[in-house]
Amino acid sequence: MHRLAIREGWTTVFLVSLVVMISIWSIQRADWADGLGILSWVGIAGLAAGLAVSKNQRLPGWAAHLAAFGFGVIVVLFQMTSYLNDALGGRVDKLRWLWGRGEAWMSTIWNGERNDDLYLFVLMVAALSFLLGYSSMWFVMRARWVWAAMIFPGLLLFINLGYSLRVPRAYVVLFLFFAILLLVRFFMLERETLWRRMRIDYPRSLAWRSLWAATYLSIIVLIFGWAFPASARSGSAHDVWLKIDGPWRSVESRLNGWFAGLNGPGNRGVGGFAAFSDSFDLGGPLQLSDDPVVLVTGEATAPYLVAHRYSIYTGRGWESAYSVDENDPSDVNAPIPPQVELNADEDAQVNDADLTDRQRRTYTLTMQRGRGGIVFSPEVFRSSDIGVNLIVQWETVTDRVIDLTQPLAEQGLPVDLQQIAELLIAADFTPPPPPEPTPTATTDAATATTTPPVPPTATPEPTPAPPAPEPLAITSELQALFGRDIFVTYVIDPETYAVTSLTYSGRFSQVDDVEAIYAREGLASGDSYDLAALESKALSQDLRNVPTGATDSIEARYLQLPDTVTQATLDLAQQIVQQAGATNQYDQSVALQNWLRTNVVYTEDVEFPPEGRDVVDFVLFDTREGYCEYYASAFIVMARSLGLPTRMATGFFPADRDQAAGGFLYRELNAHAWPEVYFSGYGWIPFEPTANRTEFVREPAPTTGGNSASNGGNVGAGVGGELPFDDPFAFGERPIDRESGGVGIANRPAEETSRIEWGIRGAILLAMAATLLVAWLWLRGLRGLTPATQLYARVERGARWTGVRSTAAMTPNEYSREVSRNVPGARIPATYLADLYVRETWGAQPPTQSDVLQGRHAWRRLRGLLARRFFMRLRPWNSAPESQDDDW
Amino acid sequence: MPMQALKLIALIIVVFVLAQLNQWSILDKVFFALVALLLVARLWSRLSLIGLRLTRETRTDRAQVGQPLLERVRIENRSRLGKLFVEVLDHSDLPGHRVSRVVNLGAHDAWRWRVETICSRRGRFRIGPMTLRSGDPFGLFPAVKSVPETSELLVYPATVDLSAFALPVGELPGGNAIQRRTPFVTPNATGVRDYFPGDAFNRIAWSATARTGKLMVKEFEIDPTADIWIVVDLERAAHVGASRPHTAAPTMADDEIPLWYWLDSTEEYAVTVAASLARNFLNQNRNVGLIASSERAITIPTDRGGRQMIKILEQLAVARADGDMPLGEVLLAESAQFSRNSTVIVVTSSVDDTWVQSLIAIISRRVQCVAIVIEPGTFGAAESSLFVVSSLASVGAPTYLVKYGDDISRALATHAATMPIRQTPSVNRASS
Repeated sequence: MHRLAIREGWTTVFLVSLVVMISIWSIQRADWADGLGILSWVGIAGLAAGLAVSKNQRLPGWAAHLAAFGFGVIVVLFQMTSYLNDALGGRVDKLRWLWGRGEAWMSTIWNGERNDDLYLFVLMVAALSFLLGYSSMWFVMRARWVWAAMIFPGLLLFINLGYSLRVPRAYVVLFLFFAILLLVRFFMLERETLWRRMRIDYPRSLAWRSLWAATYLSIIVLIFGWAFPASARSGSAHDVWLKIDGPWRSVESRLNGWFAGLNGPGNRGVGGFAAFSDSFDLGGPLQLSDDPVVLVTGEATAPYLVAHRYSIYTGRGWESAYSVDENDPSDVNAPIPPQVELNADEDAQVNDADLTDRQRRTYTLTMQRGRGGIVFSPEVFRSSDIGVNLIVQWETVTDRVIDLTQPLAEQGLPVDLQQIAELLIAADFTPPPPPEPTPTATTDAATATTTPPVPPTATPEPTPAPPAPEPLAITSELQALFGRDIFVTYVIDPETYAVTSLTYSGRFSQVDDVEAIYAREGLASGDSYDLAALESKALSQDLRNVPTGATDSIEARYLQLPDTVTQATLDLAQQIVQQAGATNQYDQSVALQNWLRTNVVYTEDVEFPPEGRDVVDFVLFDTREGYCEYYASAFIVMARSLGLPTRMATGFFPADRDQAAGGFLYRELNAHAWPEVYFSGYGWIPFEPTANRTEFVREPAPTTGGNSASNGGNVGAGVGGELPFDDPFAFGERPIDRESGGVGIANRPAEETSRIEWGIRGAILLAMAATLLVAWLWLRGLRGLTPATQLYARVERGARWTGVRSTAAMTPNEYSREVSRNVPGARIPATYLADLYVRETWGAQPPTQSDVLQGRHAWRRLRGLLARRFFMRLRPWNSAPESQDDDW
Repeated sequence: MPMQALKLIALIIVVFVLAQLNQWSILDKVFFALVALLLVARLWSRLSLIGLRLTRETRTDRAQVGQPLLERVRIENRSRLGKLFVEVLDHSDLPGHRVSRVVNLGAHDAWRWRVETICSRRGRFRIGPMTLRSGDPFGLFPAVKSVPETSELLVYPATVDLSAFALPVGELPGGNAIQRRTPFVTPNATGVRDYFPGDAFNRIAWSATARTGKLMVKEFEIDPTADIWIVVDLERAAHVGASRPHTAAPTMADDEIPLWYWLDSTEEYAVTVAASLARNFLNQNRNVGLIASSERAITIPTDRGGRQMIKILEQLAVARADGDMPLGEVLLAESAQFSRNSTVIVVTSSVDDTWVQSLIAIISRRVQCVAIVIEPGTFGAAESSLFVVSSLASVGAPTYLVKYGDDISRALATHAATMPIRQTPSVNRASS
């Protein structure tokens, strides 16, 4: 047991570990990406490595760091390869795969493009966690620099807290609590070390007593901090900061671009709906840059561009359906649904039944900067001239029956079964004239020999002649479907020998329910692609006639609401539609939209919702303010409570035409979120509840004047390029930024102004850098010296800066005399400090504490004289007296 | 302002600026928590030394090398607030005197401890001052209070038993009665006289008082013995320190530390020998005087009794080998004091035999001389005193040779004339 004891005590190790692990847990809690679960083990390994090498005093620092680096590389790569899917192969194959991704990531970053490779993010964060654990333990155990051991984990914690809403503030409380305990423990440790060295007896219980005292003090301090009624925030300072935060925002934007696919709330540009990743949380102020993203040409109007759609509302944000399936405990063994691959110019096989009143439009999109291969598409994607993968919703069906005698479009037949259905309808199973003893009338492509015959529901007696053998085309198609885990059986009418129905089971892609589209080869800055999409031109009168209801799968997916939704929200939705007298889907949707546009104030500076509070409830009943994602979320929750299948779409609202660019230039600040409501037969129809955006025009054009055709064509694109330029809503969500974000003539004054600003910022940065440099030059090498040596080193350093240099042959006393000669008034303090240094270094009796205190006093006096001398030397007119001093 | 506090203030400023710019409420709370931490630390530090009372008791202001010094320290907290830790730091310059302690005090609590230090060095030492040091548990604001009171401790040199050291009887016949009255009580009562106010009561001769009917007192004379002069050579150039001193702490036994622990130079040997001789002869009720050639010349006229012993020890306690006058000149300068039948004992480590000439001059006046030579060669010096010893032997002066590590009692039991000179130094006891 004694062998395991360490001088610093395991309490210290425990506190350092807690401080570090809280920081690491905050990363995991932020859930920036999958796979962050490895961070705990990596962090622990880092702490263990730091403890092991720092306690080995015989190991020099560089060797310790080298050994820890090697160990860290092994740990991180081991954990990383354990996390990666075994389908990639062995560990070597996984490392090779990671290397390839790293090269691609570097290339992307080098070209200034965005990248969403989260595997490398996990790898880097794991390395950071190891480094954090190792360095913190080293700082405390070896370097005796406790502030560094607290500040770096704290910085990481606050970064996570600032950019993610998933991290509760309790982490900060815990961190501060344990950091204060660590500070106290470290201070007592330092004192104990000193006492032991001076052979001073001290109560061994002091360590625990101090921790108890620190516990009470920490609680008092934290209560004070959290309960103090005043605020340190300043609106004016914040406004000033918003004007000069360009460099910081560009840094944020650049870092965000390196890992564009992070999950998060999106405040401050990281994660969020504007990241178009698998999920995002609501909350925090909206800060979007005016960097151009994509240029759209080919049509006269600018469309809403969809980047990602979400179906699951969590009470705090939105998640994709397939990302949830992956974590569903009940479906843990199910494979991740594969993407639907479409080759260039291949049409997506969408269900024609939901394409009423849709118009095919073709756009050319030119990427201004890479967004990780995301293909932006208006409403319903149809085809593209590049190969794409569609992330679609999947539906699991078990023994669903399709009546082939009825129109297929009305029965929701999956696209995958279109061909077999057509083959079965066309097939003729009339037996040949000489009847043969065929044992079955029902067939299953895969299990034809084992499946018992399924007799027709009303099989007459006597048994008629068996049908003809299954045509080869049907057999081949059935086998192909079986290969995709789709099982199909069909029933032949014994009288007509026609197929009357088919029964199928399996997982089917909902190609008309696309979550996101990715270019198979990725998209870099400058790449362009043609895209055909189907945009709705349905009018309100048509939509009003759509009966309520949808397929079971759509209702199951898009009527989901979490338990966090409050009864007040549900009541409010009912109240709104009742007051509006809305009785159909469309009117109810419009009523919700209008209520939100009227009653919720648009603002981009939104408070974070309280922990555990449903965001929609917070917006509707507390703040009544927000921006697009709040409007859309409130709309969707209320619509779903009314039984309207609704989903969240994120992407860009229509951009202005940019004359210089020759098309509609979409910028980051065009990022938008809006709801889409499902109308049977018409598909998903977008609505615009955000107050400062123009709502969709679906009312029929007045008969007096106007062009009904153009009105119809403008449905869903009533904003953007076709709006009059003085339309106040046409300037988007950030009018000021939009103005400055334009290119051409309008940008020039802003650029001239920014030069002055940049000059000031550069000067400030230079001054800060100079201050840091001077501080570094002054403090370097002083750590670890004994007090008297440190004071003498300061004398030497300060005197050197004033021009008094020592030679190798000079003794400290000679040097102090040299300083006294050159710096008037410095004789006594300089002599004393030199004497102190000599006594400590070569004397039999080291200086006492009171000597050192007196030495510090002497140094303070000498410091002023040296500073005065330093500044006097800078003055050119003082050169003559200086030389006289030297002579003296 | 302490560096730790400056770091915290810098952190507070950074958080404040971020809170100003960022409008982030968590920074508000962190800012106020840090400010609270700073204030609490400052307040704690201010209160940490309030209401403390420190008492220090030293039993004596005199001690002797090898004897313990006993001290009692008591610190009392008279305030209602407990003190997490208070460092009681002692700045005494007495070697090995470890009074410093860290205590934890509750409200109205007291802590006392006893320190027993074996004095290992002769000299005059300062006991105190003391410093009370405490502060907040974060180490941000240390609090220091000085207790400037000091006292002085004089540590006499050690003495060893020299009962085996005998002056040569045949050569030192003693002397006639000095016929000199003395205020001390001696075995030689020479008469009685009337009592005068101021006479000590213990000198009243009760039989004569009864006989005469009035108070009578006795009168004494000094013993009819020869004076003994101890001459200690404290010339700076004549002394060396041990090249391999005993730095390891000795094993304590019966509250004593071995002699060799502090005998680490010819100077200490010389002083210890001189003190031991003085004690030995004063115990024999002889008149003993002291001459020491330090920077400040020390001459104590011959006398007897306990007070003389104290006089000699006090001078020897602070005597240092910092004189510049060679022993020969000292002997010549002081030779007038040596009466015909007195005895001069020279204690020296000088390798310069010129002083032997001075000694010969004194011997020629029928003054008995004895030389005790501390052999510097055994302390690591380049030169040896063998030439001096042989010179002394040639003039017939009894000579004792003391080497580094020697037991002084044994070394002075037999003089060099009868003791073969060893070619190798005696066994170093410290290394044994």
